[in-house]
Amino acid sequence: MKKFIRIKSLAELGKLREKCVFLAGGTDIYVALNDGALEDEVLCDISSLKGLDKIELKGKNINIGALATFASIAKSPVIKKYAACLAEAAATVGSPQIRNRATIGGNVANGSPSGDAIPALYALGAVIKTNLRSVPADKFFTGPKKTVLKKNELITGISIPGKNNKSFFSKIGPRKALAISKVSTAVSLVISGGLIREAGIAFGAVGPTVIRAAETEKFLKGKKLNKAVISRAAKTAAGEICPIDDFRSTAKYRRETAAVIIERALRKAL
Amino acid sequence: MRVSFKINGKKVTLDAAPEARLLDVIREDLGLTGTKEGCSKGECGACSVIVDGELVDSCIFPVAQAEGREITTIEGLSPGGKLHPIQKAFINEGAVQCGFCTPGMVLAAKALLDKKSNPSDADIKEALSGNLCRCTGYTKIKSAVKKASQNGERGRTKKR
Repeated sequence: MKKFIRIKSLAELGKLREKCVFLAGGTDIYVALNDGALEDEVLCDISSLKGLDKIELKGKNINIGALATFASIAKSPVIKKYAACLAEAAATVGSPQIRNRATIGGNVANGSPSGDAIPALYALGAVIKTNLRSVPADKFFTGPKKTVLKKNELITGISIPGKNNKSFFSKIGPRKALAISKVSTAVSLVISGGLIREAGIAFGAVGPTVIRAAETEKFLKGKKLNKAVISRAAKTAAGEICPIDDFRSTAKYRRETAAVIIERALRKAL
Repeated sequence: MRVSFKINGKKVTLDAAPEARLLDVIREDLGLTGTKEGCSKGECGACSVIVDGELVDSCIFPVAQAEGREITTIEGLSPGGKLHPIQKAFINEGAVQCGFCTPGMVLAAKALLDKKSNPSDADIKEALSGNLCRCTGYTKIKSAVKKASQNGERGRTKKR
């Protein structure tokens, strides 16, 4: 890296002249640094920004500060209650050592299609808040590791609308820990009067960004959740993703496994 | 940059590049070589240390963020050379082969037992999931942690 600076308040963001790479927990950035990458970048350490690590219920919304670690998200009673799929996703990231440092803001800013928090944020209808604006999670990513963030725009938090929902997350990797997903899924259902009122379904690692299964969501709306509906939904979902062959897995495996994990997740809601 | 923190109970102040890895400061500047470098990617846990009660990988931790914190390395478990009950359990159970993963494993165990004095087998597996061992196959490491939890902090068998 070219330079290392620290900011102590959000007000200092406006004074930054050079383009910065923001550093929080460092679990992505330091891996890159250790590998010899980011040589020409200016690192701006934001870990001292006060109050950005809180998780709170505010009115009908769950607000998660960008600096909240995956460890705190995984064990938060508020998140387990209203955004269970996010708590589940957080608990699967990396390892205890990584979860104690990795932040949700960093996972989102890194923007990997395999980033485990992201499908949960899509499924929950989360909004990404920056120092400049609010962007729905499913409009935030434009390609692999590409987001809509402008120069020195900083993610400050995530807002999740509180609903009476059931949500689940599942990831498939080569092992239970320290694994980047081959395919992952998050689903959130609001069921009342025996019918599905709202459905949020997303898949990770099977497209250039996390993919929202919009057709499947539309299919499920208004239906009664039963095995036949679930089976049909899984088939529809498998058609909405665009997996590729890469060194982690194959398109064929990903497509077949995506159908399996969405079916298993939906069955948990029965 | 001047940075001050507590390491194994002792306050230290030193000059370091803010982006320097905590691992390198611990090993090179402070001469505490019990913490090992295994992968430099936060994937093996050999570099694990405890910072303010939380287990972290020091190879991906900038020393600038150590300011004002309390850090425990493996050396901190055996002041004056007296072995910690967890270390005794590792030896008694045969959980050490080449020993390279051992400092990280012991600290992962300590971080667990400091929070859960009676962990289940699943808790132990999860607590150690960020630490790789190429020698032992993990079985004796897990039973060492279980034994250490049963013997209590002071190394005595609990009365039943």
